[in-house]
Amino acid sequence: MDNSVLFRDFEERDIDFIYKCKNDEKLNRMIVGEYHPFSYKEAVDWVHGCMGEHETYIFWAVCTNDDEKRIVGWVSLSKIDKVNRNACFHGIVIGDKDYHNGLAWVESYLFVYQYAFETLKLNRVYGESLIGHKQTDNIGWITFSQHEGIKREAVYRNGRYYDVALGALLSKDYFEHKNNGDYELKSILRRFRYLKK
Amino acid sequence: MKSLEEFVKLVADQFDETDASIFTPQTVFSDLEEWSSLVGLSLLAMVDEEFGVTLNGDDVRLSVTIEDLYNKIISKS
Repeated sequence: MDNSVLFRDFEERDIDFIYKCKNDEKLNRMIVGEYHPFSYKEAVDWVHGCMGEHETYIFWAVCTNDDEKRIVGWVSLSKIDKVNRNACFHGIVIGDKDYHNGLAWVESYLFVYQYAFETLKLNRVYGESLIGHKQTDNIGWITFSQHEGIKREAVYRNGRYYDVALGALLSKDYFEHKNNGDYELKSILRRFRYLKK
Repeated sequence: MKSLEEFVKLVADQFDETDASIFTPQTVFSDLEEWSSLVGLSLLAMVDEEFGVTLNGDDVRLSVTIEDLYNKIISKS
């Protein structure tokens, strides 16, 4: 089955989409990083900052799998540490509601892990998420990221403090599960169904 | 094969916070406030288990109502 989305570098034409998403309160309600409404100039600067190659971070535009390659979201790796061979799974946003089918979200996660472990040859990819964020609570189960601890009341958001969950996936675990077929869509769907029950 | 009415109930079950009584064959599921990637994945997983059909992104994106989605599943099963 063809993937529902592709991944490309950011382009100037993405600015309006970024401006809209960065000012969507619902979309930003459960992010770990600081949230504030964006001016249009901030959106321009943000997109320019994402473009091209950087030593310690990479942002990809998640785009439609067709000739237009229209942006529907973004995904990123940050704090790339080539000495210790680790990086932070910085974030994933699927901002186009037409792509809230679950597939774009899963494909984006798997793309970043594949890039981190197979292209950059990293040993560890770690991340943080607000406890109570249903999507990130579940993605750990889906990708076999291991829970590593909790930072208590580490983020103030939506009028209250949230605990932050720490998780990571190691290269050896990624390849073991990949070789088992655990990242195939059928396998993911069945594991997710089991989790829901 | 499950009926359309049974499918509507199964779709409603994938939403944790939306009142199940609002779901009908004509419900535009992607317009619901709770619709998200998580609910979308939950829907795909339910269809895989209950119907043995794996929907792709276009199947969901191009289906406007629950009945459209049901007809897509029937056509693929």
